Amino acid sequence: MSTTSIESIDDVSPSVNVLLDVVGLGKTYGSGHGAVRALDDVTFSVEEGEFVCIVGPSGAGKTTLLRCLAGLMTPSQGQASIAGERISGPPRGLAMVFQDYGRSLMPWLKVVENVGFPLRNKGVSKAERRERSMAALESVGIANFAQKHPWQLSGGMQQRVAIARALAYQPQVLLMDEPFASVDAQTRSDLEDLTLRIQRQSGITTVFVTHDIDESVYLGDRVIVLTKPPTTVSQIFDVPLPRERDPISTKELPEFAHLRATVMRAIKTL
Amino acid sequence: MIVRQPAEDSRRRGWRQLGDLALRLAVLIGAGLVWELYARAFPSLFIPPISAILANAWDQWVTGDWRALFIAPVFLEMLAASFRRLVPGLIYGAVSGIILGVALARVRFLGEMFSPLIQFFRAIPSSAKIPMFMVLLGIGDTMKIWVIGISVALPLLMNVMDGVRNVDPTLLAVAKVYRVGPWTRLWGVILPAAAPQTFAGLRIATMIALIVLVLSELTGAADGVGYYVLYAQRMFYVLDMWAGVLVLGFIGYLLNAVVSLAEVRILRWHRQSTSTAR
Ligand SMILES: Nc1ncnc2c1ncn2[C@@H]1O[C@H](COP(=O)(O)OP(=O)(O)O)[C@@H](O)[C@H]1O
Ligand SMILES: [Mg+2]
Repeated sequence: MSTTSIESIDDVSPSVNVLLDVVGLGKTYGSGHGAVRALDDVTFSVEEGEFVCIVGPSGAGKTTLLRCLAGLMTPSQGQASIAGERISGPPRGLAMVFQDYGRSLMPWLKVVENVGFPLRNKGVSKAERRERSMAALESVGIANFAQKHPWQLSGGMQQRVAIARALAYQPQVLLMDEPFASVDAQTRSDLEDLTLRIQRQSGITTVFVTHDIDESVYLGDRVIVLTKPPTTVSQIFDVPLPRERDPISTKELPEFAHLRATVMRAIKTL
Repeated sequence: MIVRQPAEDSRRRGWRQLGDLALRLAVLIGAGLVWELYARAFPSLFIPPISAILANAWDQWVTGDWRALFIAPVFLEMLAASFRRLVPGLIYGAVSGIILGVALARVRFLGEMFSPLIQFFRAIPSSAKIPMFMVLLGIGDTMKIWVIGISVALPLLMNVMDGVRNVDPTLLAVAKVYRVGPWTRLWGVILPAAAPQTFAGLRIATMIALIVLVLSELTGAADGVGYYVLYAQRMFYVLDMWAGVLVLGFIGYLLNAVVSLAEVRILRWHRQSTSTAR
């Protein structure tokens, strides 16, 4: 009798917490004749500590979606909320890595100053800011370039700086917008593993946008497939792979190949 | 992992800079020599040899008094009179130009409201602004400082507005997402990003300031370098006139050097980042 009641309580309150909740989100750019409907009706949620990948063809509104989640943009319909609070401006504890790394770093600041920039005037002492910046640079493996300027670094290293900046901020949620779309294949593979390692260590809830199906299956706990515009969520896949991943052995697992094919088919038949 | 290194090490760069300096000095001396030879070959009342101009200036402005660094009081008084007008005019003009430029570029509504007025004021030549301000403020130094200030502020403001409007939106988005305050956004993002354009404006502004200074001293002044030049010209003191012109050139050169020095220090990142091939 008592056992049953406990079980039923477990049923109504799942052990995981939804951190990010997107309900019926729509966004139209402009109005009247020239209006562009970038997002039509997007609904999904992300649990705390989860790594979710969002895949969709170019122009599907992936960047638009992230900008709405980051509070940089107000949705036309629906809403997004973080920890139960509706997003109406940049939420506390949210960091973002932008697609064009070259333009998201301040060229007048040294690498370490770029990383510490979000901590300015936040009640973080100068010493602590430096310490956190250096620790973040350490964890992305470029501490020895702290005193360089961003434009002295290669593209892949610049994106590491942007990731370090997000880490030093110690966010609850990390949004990444096609962060590795314009680096070469080897660098990209290194950066993917770096991202995974950091996510596993820190447990930061991560929403990773990409148009690369392999990348989404390799990185994600779940893969959300978007349709072509007018954009909705087409399908959501659980990734049945162990959480520890390896660029060689994970990718030769039959589950990897199978899911990869399934996602590809889902996008093909949009 | 590739790190781009500067093409040269600093010692080689040092030698090259020294060579450049020697070359520039040689060109300057060469120009003086050409002038000297021309003036001697074709003697004219109006183009005296530069040696005569310098000798005349020496007689007037250099004394045997080491305590005053051999500089005659008349020279100091002349410079002081001009700098009393130029320096405050420049500073007020630069500060208000930068503040207004940022405000008008950031607050859309302000920019739209004031842009016709600014365009109109800018279209009035400085030489016509002087009589206008004379009517309003009299012929004293206050009028001169105002005219210099406004002539500096207007073009500078346009440059600053342009720079602020062209701040990369990605950087502004970064500042927003990371919730930096308005103060950090201004001093940490907007002003540094607009600094290259601001300095370009500042260079123009200092040159304009000098022009307007001289113009303003042509009317209603009894001292200053501009007055000295005009008076000498009217009295046919040709040697004095040329000496005054050289002094003005020297002041202009100095002002430009001050701006350049600040620019080199503040915009090192800009020079280097734009010269780094991407
Ligand atoms: N600022 C904007 N103004 C008007 N249309 C836009 C703007 N930004 C994006 N769009 C349009 O919205 C659609 C989705 O764009 P975006 O979110 O960048 O897609 P994705 O990141 O998936 O490639 C595209 O058709 C694009 O042209
Ligand atoms: Mg995009």
